[in-house]
Amino acid sequence: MRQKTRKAKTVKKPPIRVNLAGEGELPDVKINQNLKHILEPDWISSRYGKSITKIQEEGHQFVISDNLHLPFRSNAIDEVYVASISLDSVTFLGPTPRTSEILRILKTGGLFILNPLDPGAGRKVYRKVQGTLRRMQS
Amino acid sequence: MTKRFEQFYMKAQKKGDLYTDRMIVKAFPEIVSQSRLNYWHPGDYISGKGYRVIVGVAPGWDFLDIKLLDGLDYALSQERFSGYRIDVFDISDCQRLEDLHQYIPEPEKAYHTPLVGVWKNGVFQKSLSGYDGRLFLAERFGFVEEFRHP
Repeated sequence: MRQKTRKAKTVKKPPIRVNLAGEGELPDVKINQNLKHILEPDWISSRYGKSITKIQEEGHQFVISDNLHLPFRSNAIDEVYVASISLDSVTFLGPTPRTSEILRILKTGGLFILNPLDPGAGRKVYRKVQGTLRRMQS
Repeated sequence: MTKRFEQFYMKAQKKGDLYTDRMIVKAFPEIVSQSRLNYWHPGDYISGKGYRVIVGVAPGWDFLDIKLLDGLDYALSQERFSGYRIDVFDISDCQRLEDLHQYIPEPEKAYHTPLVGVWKNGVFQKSLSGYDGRLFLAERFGFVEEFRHP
């Protein structure tokens, strides 16, 4: 009797991507972290003028938190994006995303993409290596 | 159109790193002084005649603000906007919402830049911010095509 050899199928999990201070402006990054002000009824996104309901209808999810303590486990995220916001500073809306938190939530080898929507030199890619962010060719 | 703000931003980003925005913010008043826009500080003169706009931007990290500044700078080179004055400030000078009141009287619900205030003959007319503010300026100054979204 011929025996069939079964190979275990390895299913590659899709990368977990998070857009900090995100407003659904990155089509492939569905998890958006932002401050609670985005729940205000008159809030619309900066880039496209969309309501949060509209953005959610497009498949985006929102995680509401301040920027000092991101509600993600350590070493859990494959790719972190930050578009159009300063790092480690304070604006009239409060503290902006912290690089210490980005480092904490990123997996080792994970990517941090800064200014993903900027053309050319604006976009920067970093990799978490040995607990620090190392610039890559971008 | 001279894209002085975009060129400056991209050049700085090319050299810079995670905190390039600090470098840009530091040089920003000088870049504004080379344009037709005016860098405005609280207490500076507000003309009692004509149409005045003040625009609060994030030059260090918001590329749309940078594009907007180039559009406004170009607009002021046109005869039809000769009676207009456009003042600019950097929102990194405002670390609390109350700080914005030194620049715009009623920015109660500001979530994004640009923060826009409009005066006519010395009288404050209205304020807008974010998407609405950007679109208002782009329509008013004739470059709305730059900001049409998909």
